[in-house]
Amino acid sequence: MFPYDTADWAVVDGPMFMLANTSWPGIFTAIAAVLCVWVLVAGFRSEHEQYAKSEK
Amino acid sequence: MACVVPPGEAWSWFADKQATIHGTPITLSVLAFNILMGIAGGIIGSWIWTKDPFWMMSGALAGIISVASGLDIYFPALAFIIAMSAGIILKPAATWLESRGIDDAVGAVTVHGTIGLYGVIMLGVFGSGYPALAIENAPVITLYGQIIGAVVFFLLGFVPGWVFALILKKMGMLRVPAAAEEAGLDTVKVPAQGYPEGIAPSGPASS
Repeated sequence: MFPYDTADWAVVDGPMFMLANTSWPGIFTAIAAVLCVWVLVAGFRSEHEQYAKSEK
Repeated sequence: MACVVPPGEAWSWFADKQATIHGTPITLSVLAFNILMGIAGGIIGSWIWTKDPFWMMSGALAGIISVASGLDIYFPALAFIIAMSAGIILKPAATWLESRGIDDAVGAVTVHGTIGLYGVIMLGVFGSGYPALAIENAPVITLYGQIIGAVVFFLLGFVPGWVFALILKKMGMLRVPAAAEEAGLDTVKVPAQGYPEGIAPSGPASS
């Protein structure tokens, strides 16, 4: 929800990310980081599966 | 949303801050970073599902489109997550569309249409309660409103497109001849070779 009493952009000083000043940005960052690490691991495994196929 | 209105002009929303065309305070860096997150998430998501370079490139575009509705307010990591989910559903959505008899040869209907609607609804999920315009007593974003908007977009986009395609089909102008489809349009329409026979290959550069 909009973190001000009135839903009006005039009360905001500048660009503002959604859910600022809550724990959600941290949670989203953690989820995105986990996804990135998972993709790196999956990519590494996929790559080596292809290498193994090419050696047969 | 990819537009920044400078402050202090007659047409500006605010006297002291940059804004989108809807009046959301924004800067170019906010816009650029969220677009980058959209590209990254879309490519990665489509790679996970397809491992296909064609869909990865389409996934980059789909990633941007999936977060376009909320580029001005999404937290970058959230934009990445939404774009990644869009990249994952891209190919299944295209397969479903083709199974309905729509020849979406380059995936454009899926990328711009299906993923566009997905992005509109995602803003309703995550952005509810935020003002939709920079005016007093502005309407706020709601999931219900976004779903209604998605339906309107679908009707305005798909129905006229379908009607025009039907007219072109009746006139015999919708598709190329079957033989040209089989041979490939590049070969038929542009019968030129990159390295025609008879042209000697160039020799090594002389110093």
